[in-house]
Amino acid sequence: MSLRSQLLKGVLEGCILAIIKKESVYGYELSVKLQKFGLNDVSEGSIYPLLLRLQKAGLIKGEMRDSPSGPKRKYYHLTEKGEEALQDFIAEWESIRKPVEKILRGGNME
Amino acid sequence: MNAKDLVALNNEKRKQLNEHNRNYYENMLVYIRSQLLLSEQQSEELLMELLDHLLEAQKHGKMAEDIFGTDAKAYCDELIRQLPKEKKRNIYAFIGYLAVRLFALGVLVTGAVELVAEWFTDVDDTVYLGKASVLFVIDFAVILLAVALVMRWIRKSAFHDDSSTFGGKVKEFLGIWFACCLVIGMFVLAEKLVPEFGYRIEAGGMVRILFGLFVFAVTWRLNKKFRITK
Repeated sequence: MSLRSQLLKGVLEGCILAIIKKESVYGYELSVKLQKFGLNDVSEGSIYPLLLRLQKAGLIKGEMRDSPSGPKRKYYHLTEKGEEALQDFIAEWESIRKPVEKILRGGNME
Repeated sequence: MNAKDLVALNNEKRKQLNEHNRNYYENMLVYIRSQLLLSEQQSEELLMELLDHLLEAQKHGKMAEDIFGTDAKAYCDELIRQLPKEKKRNIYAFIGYLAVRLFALGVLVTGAVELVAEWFTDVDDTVYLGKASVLFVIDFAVILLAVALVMRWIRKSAFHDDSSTFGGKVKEFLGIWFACCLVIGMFVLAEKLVPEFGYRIEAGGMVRILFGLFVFAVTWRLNKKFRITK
């Protein structure tokens, strides 16, 4: 896998954790939310391998529950481990966000 | 919801897909289900999620390719890499269950054949327990191997289904014919090659049928109790 797609996956995983932390969602709902935030280039199907990976790592948990619209859906919620992973992700993201922005804008070193 | 309920619900919901999306989805379904070592529960939950998603997207005029991409096999391989394996305990329980079922079926069938044959001729009721056990192990192994081969074949043909063409149909027929010949051939060969040894018992047709039915009843009870086949 290329570094570029690994980076994107990592970022996307962080976003998924953040969305699930707010409220538990099911797959389709999650993809709609990602798109509403503007991540239109993320193909809808690509969330499912990530959801499986996050489940396997114990960061989220899926549960079949009745949805308001009727049918049973698999809702995901964050585990304690997932909470920690999200905090780590936010810290890492903050630590690279500013320097990367500066570099990309062609600013000077401090 | 256990795997069996999910399969039933999936069959029902799938009917709402249009032809194009159903073709695409069913290829994925066959491919993922043919991976026998994956957790059945997790696989079925995932298949239901994908189906729900596709149904929802279809309502908004989208096609399966818009969601899962143009390379369905690559997408499924990615999912399969992340799906958890079935628990070893469940796999062994299932194989053991199949073995006992096969044993009961074998006893029943030979019993029935003998019962009919007794009307016309003298039948030798002798069973050599040593030979019978070795034969059983060989036959069961051959069946497991055949199942594994068939599954591999299904996996390989999942995304280039040519069963609608004439050539495809001929190939499919020859494949099944060859597999059956191989299995039956192995049975006959084993019967001829394994020598008679071990403890000798006499078991007539009626005795076998009763014993076979008894074993069936036991497996039925065990399956109900431990939900081996869910």
